[in-house]
Amino acid sequence: MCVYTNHPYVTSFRGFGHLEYTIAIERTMDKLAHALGIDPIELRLKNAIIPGDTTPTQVELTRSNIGNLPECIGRLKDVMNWEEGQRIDIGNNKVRAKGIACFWKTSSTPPDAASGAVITFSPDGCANLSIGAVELGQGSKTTLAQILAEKLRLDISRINVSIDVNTQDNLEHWKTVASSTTYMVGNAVIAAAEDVIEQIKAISSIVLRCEAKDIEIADGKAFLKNNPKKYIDITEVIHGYRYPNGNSIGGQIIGRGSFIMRHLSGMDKETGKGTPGPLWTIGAQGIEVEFDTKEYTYEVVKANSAIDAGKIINPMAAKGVTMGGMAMGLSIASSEAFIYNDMGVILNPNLRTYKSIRFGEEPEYLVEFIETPEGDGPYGARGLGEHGLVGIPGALLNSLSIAAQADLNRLPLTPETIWRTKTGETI
Amino acid sequence: MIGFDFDYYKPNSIEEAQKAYKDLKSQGKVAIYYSGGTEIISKARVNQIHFDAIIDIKGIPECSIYGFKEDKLIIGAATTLTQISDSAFFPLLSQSCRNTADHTARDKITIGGNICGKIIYKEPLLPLLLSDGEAVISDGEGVKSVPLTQIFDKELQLEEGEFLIQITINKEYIFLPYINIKKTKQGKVDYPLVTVASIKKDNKIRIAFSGLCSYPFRLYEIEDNQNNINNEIKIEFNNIMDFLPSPIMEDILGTAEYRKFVTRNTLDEALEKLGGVLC
Repeated sequence: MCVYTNHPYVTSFRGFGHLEYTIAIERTMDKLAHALGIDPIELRLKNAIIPGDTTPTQVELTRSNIGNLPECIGRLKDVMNWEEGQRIDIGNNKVRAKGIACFWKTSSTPPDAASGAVITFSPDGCANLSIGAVELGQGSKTTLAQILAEKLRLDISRINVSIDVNTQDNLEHWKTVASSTTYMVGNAVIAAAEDVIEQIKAISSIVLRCEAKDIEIADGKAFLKNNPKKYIDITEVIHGYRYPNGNSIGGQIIGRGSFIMRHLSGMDKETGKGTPGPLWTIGAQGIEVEFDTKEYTYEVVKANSAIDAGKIINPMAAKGVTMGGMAMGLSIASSEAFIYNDMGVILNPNLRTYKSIRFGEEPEYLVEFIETPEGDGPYGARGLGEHGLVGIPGALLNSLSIAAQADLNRLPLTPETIWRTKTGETI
Repeated sequence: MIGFDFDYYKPNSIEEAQKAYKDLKSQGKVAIYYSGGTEIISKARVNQIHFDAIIDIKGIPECSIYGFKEDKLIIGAATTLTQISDSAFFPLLSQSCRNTADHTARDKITIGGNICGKIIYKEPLLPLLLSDGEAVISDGEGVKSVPLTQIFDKELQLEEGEFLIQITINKEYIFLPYINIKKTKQGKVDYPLVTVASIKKDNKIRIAFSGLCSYPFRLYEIEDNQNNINNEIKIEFNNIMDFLPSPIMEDILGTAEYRKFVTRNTLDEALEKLGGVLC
């Protein structure tokens, strides 16, 4: 049955589903810690998921696929200066309070999600990379250029990644979603680079009169491992090699690579068993607020994340992507929501009244990475994208529940929401 | 995009403006006076208003004056909120303007447009009401000066064809002790849950509100209902609530009950700064 309503249609937004259930879990963890008289960090450390455990859908966990959550929690504890106390009275009706949340997220891709990559060369020896991933500000094309530069041992300024994506010309990428571009496309790029290297070596070995295995490639040259002075510039082979008398061999070198998710499965209806993704990126996040106990207003002072994202290929981009996610999490948790009247009509249909946080309202952000390698990821990288958002609403609820000494479970966390909870006014 | 055509007039004098309005009216056209344009453009874009012509008052010298003349501060209607907030002529007014909208919008919003617009908050008006400002108005034929306290009731009571030229304030008011506090639902930039502006004159505290009810107002009644004991002015919160000119607003920014709670805290803070006590 279909029912038309006057509600707006909804669609997926960064981290959808994850932040919502994480709120429920992380509020519960804090309430359990309170009831047990245990420090919330201690309770989380005791219950942190580790290699040897199984997930709710019975995936066996290894150091590679789950990383190191206890280390994330420990790092967060240090950077938040947890030992000084969770709630500190700073005078003038103000308290400073800290709250945390843990999170994990896998890709939840279809089991046959796949990506392709093709590498060609310009006559000057620059490598052109064609992929299907869409650039939406996350910087994954830079990360992929880095991966290719590393693999080809070519300066990154000599790598061109196709920026616009045209499904007629570019390679397939399942979807630019699920925080999986670096993982999936990165693996395809490595495969394509290996294909290119093999082809260059094959032609070069004929020219240099040796075995392909004797050759190495770096800085745009194919040279003998044992005698780098004996080399050929790759510009001489990428579009075919021409002998002095005009005879030619080879042809255009075209590198081909692809990646498909491995060993994923759908969920069994009876048992609930299934493998929804190849790996988990996990982390711990903390919020420090300054709360006014008289007016119930607050300011987010610090937002911290400690995330095990495997090998970080581009530290600045990884930090930026994570901070952006954290900012979105704070905005959703503190102010964003549609408001409906009794007739179901939205009362805040534009950005004048639908408020997100402004630049001047951002807290100090701190992002720490733990780099437990993922066995199948490009250079050991895990997925990283939406994760920065996931634990933030739960951590904000926890910090404000501590600050206000109230059981806060409702978003957005406006001062009125806190006032109502404190004074028992019904909503 | 504005989905209809209209004519644009930019007169260089009050007389030209008056003539343009008359001419347009005689042709059966709907003309409106235009200053910063933020509200007119926003509403025209979503078809909430319609007009055949706009008469931009920004070219009229009298509307652009901002400064002292003898014992008065003259504020031209076309003075932008940024100009006022960046100046130190009248600190309370500068602060009110700085608390209104965001910087980009304040570069366009003019004080005249804000006072004459449909916006229900009009925070820059509060200092003008408190300091017995005079509205200088073009009445179609000539120019008249009317106390704001007389002509402002829920909105500026202009007759058809009239427009605001200036507001004038007696210099004595700008040196008085003052306070202006704005409280919002959450963020720093938003319409007010409540804004309280207050000055102390002749040992009496004057208070004006925005956001509390559905229009800005100065609460005259409380000026005659305060007890000055040993230079400490006592004002009863319940009195203030009883004198409110209309029910407390209830909207997406906050419920009436919560606004009341916030107002109490805000008044507490405001009165303390002016040597008063809320009880």
